[in-house]
Amino acid sequence: MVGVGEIPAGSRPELLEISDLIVDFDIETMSRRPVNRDEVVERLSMVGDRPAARIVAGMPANDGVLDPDAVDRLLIRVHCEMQRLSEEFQHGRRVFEFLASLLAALDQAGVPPPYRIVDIGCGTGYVIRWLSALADFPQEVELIGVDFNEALVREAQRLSAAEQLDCRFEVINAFKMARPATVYLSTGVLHHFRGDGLDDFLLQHDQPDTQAFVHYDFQPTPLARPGAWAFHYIRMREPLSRHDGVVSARRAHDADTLLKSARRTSFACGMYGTRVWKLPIPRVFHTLLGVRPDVIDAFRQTLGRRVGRLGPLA
Amino acid sequence: MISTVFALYVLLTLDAMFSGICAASGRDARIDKRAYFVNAMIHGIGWGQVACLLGLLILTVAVYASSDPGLAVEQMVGVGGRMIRVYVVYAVTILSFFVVRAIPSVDIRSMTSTVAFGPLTLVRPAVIVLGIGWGLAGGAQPSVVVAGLLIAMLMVPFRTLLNRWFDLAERSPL
Repeated sequence: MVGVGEIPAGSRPELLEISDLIVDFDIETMSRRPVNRDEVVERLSMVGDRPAARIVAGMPANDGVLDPDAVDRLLIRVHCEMQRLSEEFQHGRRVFEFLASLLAALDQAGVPPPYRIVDIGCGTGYVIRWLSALADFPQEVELIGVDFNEALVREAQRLSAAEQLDCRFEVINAFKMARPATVYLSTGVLHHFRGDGLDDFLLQHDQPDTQAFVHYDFQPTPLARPGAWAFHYIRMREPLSRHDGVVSARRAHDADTLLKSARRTSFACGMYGTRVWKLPIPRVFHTLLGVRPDVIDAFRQTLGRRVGRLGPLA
Repeated sequence: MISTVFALYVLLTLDAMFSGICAASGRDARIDKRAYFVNAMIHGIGWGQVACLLGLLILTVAVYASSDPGLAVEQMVGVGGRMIRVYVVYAVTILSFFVVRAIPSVDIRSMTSTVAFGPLTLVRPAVIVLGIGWGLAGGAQPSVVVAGLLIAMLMVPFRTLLNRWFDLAERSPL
């Protein structure tokens, strides 16, 4: 372990998100593990993130273990605030427009429906619920959100039941479902996987029935950090939301890193929507796309005028 | 005088209505939030009326505290007229971006948030101070200046106070 004072001058300290540290799950059993508050505070202090350490130090704990119910309530509030940003940035409709082209291409390429769309790390399920409430896919689709966090999944289930939506949410590893997805989807998830973890995550998409993956995440640009700060300052109330929102933008992977990992799979991979129209203005999110090679031609056709947003697929 | 008071009332009510939406946003995760936001606007407007009454009280006290009440009223109308010029520019800018947002394009709509609504929300306190400052810059007696400063102190944190109200309402649903 390296103390703050021991971080070599000029080296970049590790960027940590509080929400990654205050919950812990056993990946095999999906059960929750207790999290020691002082250990999290120490870890954040060691990377020099004192504001984050203060936020965690103020969280309720029992015998030094973070109160799981308080953590769950906090994370639900944070996800609600994140949904506000998704709404402002039209993320539901953005995903729908993209999926409409993709599913039409699968249809044209002869992939039989129903198409199973699985949102990985769905949180409170905004994208899946939006699609269920407002998207009118001509194809038969199944909309499923999965997350490791049971409290977030329960909230997603409660919200979808309240609006009588035709979708479902499960606490399950997306790649261990009885039937794999036709299309895997995620928003703001990729940057949580670092190094070999990113390779491992993307390689797991390579399942026989899976036709594509579509992952939205922050695009690291010079504007990302001040932009993320300004928007999280204006729109968020929870200190954790403000902190993690900015850190997410800072630790986001660039397109080269994403493509290098994605191209280890058997999908043809590329980036989509990195610039606003044909202007040299970066979008807040870029999209990592992987699609089966035999669907590419149909997909270019079904994208229509948006085909110019599609980078090289290889 | 009536037109100045009416214009300021409309501008404050608009600000209160949008403040209601801002304070309520990010608290309800349903997809269809129309009824929720109508409710938020009503609460914003309601608290806006309370702010109006407090503003009127401040102005009334300022008039009675003045050595020349007639001149104080005359100066208040002048200050109000100058304030309106600043606030109308801000309000028209915001409302014009709502017109842009009506264009059914994901990119255009999200850009209105990035380049307009976000930054315009950020500068709101500065606009309030600028409006009152510009109004008072035309010259006014001390009681009118104090009234202007008190009204700024009421309106700058209005959105923050409304947030607190919604925090309380969240704990015991409205």
